[in-house]
Amino acid sequence: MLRKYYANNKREALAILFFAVAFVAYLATHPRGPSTYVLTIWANQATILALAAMAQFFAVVVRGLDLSVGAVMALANTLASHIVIGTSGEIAGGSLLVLGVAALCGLFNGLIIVYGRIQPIVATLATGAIYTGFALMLRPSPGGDIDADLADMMTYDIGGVPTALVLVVGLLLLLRLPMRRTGLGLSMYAVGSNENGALLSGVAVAKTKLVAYTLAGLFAGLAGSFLGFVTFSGDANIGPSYTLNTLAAVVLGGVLLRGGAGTLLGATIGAFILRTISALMFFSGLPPLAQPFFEGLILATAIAVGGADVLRMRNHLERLER
Amino acid sequence: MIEENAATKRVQRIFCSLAAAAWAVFLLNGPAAAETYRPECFTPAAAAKTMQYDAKKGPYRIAFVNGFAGNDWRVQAIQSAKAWAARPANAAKLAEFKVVSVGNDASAQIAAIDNFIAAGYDAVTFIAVNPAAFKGVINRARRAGTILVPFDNILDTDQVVQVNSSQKELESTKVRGVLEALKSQGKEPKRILEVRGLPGNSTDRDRHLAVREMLDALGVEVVEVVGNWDTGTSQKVVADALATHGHFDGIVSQHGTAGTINALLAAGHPIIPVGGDGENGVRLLMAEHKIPGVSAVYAPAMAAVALEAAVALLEGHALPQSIQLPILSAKMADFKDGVTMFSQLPKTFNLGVGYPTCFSGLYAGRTAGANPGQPMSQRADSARTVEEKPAPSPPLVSMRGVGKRYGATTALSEVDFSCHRGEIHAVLGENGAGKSTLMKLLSGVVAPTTGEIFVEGQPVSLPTPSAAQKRGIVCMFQELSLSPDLTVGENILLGAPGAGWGFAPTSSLHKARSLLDQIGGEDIELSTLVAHLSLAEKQQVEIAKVLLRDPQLLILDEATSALNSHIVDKVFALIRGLRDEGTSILFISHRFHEVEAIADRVSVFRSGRHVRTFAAGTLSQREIINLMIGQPLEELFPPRQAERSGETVLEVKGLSAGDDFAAIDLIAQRGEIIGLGGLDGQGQTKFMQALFGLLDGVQGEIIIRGKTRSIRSPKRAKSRDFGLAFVPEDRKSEGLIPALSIRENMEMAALGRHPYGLLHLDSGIADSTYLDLIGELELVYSSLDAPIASLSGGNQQKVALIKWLALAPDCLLLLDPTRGIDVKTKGQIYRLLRRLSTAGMAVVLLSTDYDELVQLCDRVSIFYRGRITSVLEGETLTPERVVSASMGLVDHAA
Repeated sequence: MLRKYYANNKREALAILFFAVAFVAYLATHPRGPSTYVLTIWANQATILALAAMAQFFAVVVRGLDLSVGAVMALANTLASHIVIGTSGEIAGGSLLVLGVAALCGLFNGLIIVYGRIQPIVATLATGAIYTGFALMLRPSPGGDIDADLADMMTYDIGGVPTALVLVVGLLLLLRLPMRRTGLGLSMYAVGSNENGALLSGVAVAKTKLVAYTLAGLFAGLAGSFLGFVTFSGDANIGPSYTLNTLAAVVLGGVLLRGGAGTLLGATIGAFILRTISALMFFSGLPPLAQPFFEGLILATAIAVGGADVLRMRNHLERLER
Repeated sequence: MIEENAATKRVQRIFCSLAAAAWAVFLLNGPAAAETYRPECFTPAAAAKTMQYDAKKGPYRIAFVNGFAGNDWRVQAIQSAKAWAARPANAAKLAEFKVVSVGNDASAQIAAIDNFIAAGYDAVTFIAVNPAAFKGVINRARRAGTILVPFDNILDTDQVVQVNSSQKELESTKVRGVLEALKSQGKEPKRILEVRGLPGNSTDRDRHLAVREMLDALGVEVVEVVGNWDTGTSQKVVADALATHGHFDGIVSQHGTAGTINALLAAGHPIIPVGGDGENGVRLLMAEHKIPGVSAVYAPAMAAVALEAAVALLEGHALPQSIQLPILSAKMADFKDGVTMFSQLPKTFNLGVGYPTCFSGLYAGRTAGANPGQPMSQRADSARTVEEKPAPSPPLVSMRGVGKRYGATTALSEVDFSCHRGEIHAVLGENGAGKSTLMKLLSGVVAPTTGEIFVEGQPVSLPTPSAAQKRGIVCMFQELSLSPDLTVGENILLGAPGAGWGFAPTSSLHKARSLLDQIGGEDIELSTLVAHLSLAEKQQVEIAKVLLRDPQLLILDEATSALNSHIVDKVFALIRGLRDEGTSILFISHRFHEVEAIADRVSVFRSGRHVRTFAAGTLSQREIINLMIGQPLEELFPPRQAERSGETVLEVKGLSAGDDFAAIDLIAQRGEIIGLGGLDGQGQTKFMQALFGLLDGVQGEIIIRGKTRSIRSPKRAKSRDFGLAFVPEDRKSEGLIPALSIRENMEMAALGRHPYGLLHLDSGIADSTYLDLIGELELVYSSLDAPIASLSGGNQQKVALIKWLALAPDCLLLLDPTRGIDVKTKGQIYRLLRRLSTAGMAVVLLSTDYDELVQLCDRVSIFYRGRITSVLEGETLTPERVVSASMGLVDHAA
């Protein structure tokens, strides 16, 4: 069983291993050691990127790319800083509206990519600028307010377990079976893995892609909302660093950029690795300007270990296709 | 101290001074001043309240959490914080001091601060990434007893002590400096140029408003340009403004002032007063060119002041909640090397000048201060029966007058064809006969150019595979439709009928399991990734997958090409069972014995036309082969050469590579054209790739002109010592580079053969060599510089040949060079190959066209399942033998 899992998910298994090492190192070097507070800080920060990486996963799995993940996050975040406040009814309605707008942004990306036949990287670059523009109009400079009770509920802990971790694990458990057992989930993988094959198998390729991009938007919306719970405010300028980090996270988590391979768990693990490595720096005592260098070194090692099996391919031409 | 020369010491000292100087910056002010700690040093902003915490016993653990770290100001802020902590008096109070930079992400900064709080740090100073994001962490810090001191970019809160300088005061200082300089020259300001910062940033806005407030009041015209706080951008936009407006009376520049001044000088504009930032380079420039005005800045040493404030608060002292540091400025007239500017320090060094001092003794006469304020973070942007069954009418599927053209190529023309219920109908034809196109039309992959398709007598349109599948037409496309990244079970579920987007019925998994078991796939686990299956196993999965769809018409295109006879028998038993239940099967195979074993009726196609349909067993194998090959075009091929030189160029002994091919022996002599035949995917292509160094793990011996060689890469294979040339199958993706010109494509193979390698502009091959080959092949082109994509397929193939022939190789490896090419070009290529071999070249020609093999080649080796199963030569080299050998009929060849 375990061997089968390893054979089918080599990259993901390596990522989990790498994550475990980094996580143990983090707790071991943290002066306070394992405690609810330390875990909550770590989980909150990693969860924002994990949700954004899940968004990127949906675009990548259908052999696409979404450079607007950060922008949709920013739009959701700034919108939330206006409407996720007030009575509990207003908060619930505002939260749903934020997620709805984010999902629509994703759908719009999908429509342009599928029916406009524009390459995802270009299409989402353009739409990303549009979404950032909206975010700036909503919040020209950082500010606004998000309901503190909701934010505290999302960013503290439930019986000593960080709420963020409960949220992420819950989402992963909720989505694990549908991704592998429903026609929709399998169609997304099939479209990314072998689009012609999927078409020949009778898969609705265009609709599948639309759903994938819509899900990407929805998850970017979740990420933007969660960012708001951590910062109690909206900021239109958060996009760019998140977009690139989501790509790093999915690759780290064993999700292949050529599409069709990888899991949400992998993307999540990738995000957690990234944030854990950053957190390792806090108490490393390394010179502050050298910290990005060491972070990069650890990252490059993680990626190199994950990609090492390419060297075992015999045909030089096939190797180039990876 | 001033006299010491060691530059590093000097810089260190300056940082110490920066810290101390900033320390020294506060003037007594404000209502709570009397109760606050060292009011002469910590100056409250207007209406600031006083804050005080319970005293804690030292030594303290303090952290500085910087955001963005990519500009000089931030780097200097970190350095001055460290310099401060290193001072003995301060070091004695500190148990630990950590500095981290977290980038532009507020959540990352919050996490860093939380980490330090969790670790029990006493105080954390930070340059906030965002003014509104820290409410939660402020509360957590308060509960944990950790003191937070934000500085520079501060927070929208009055819950913590913060340290900064006024943006308004900074820019006003510059405006005042410009106005004063003008006044001293006795000039009235009429038009002032304002160089702004990064658009949309609140710092840029605050500074801009200060400038407008002062100048609008005076009725001065202000021209604004956007310099992005960047020296290069400032230089460009100022140059543009000078060109547009001609003359200005003065300039106020937020940052990147060195660029502003350089543009002024380059334009030959008269020297006018400038109010600029506090970089060392700006002052050096102003002094050198005698530019009047002022250089103003706020200090990176603010980082030290924040630390100082943190310690004071930990010790229980009261401090103003908002501490405002003064702007440090110096007029050009007062610039003095070693004091207010430093010719030996970097130009980007931020200077503070002319501080009043709290501790003048500490920095020995040097008033280096800290300085300007370049706010940062925003920059990082960022189917048996012998008689024909009385067919129930109408036929299940029929075609009338169907044709299909791809561009200028006619794949099918005027085809009338029908398939009845409950029959196994075999379709035979050579490569390119139109079988595949027929299948694609029926399965909805392509639409016919002419004619109509009928299902149960009704004309239908089949735009997509799913439309065809809804009518019960299911095609098995060899191993093509599986997703390699999904498991066998997942692929089955994906293809399961009626799955939709919801949960796929797992009942199909049980059905698939029993189907796989029936066709000899007991060992294929449903949880295995398709990528990990052998080709044969993939075909079994593919068969199970199509059978699950309960097809009315099942199209099997080379469905059994990779399966061994044992498994083929099991598959056939299953298919016969389906036929007996009323399913029609269209069966395409190159294996004659398979067709004989299973087909009820047989249709033969040739060159895109339907030749004949007959009941299976009514024609002999030979008659069928004659139907398939028609009349060969004898005149197309040049006569064979009578004599061969006998010198062996290439000899291969026992070459094997994994599952691809095994024990291959081959000899190619000068003057010979050796043919490699066989059905697709029998290992011949991989064998050729191995000869050209594209495969790793190849075993056996390759001997080139008597020497055993190891060929590891195409680069070595094409070298003069090896003398091999390789023309790949797919000219679009492998043979040529579509975006480059004809000339560039031709010269590509020669690159790197020249003694000076890739650096040499000349390929080392005379143009006449190319032109001679172009002439012989009658290449039709407009210009050699035209893109290769402008050529027809035949002409492209000529270029792919010329590219390699120009190297004058000893041995030419060709992969199906005439596939999809018109007859005239074929003739030209054949004559060229014959001439080259006559001239002494050894040619190895892989071909799927038996005509080529029989008419052109001197000797033909037929591949079957990765091995050479027969070598045909002279009398034995006949179309019948080639075709039957290719289909594995070696022992009972006609």
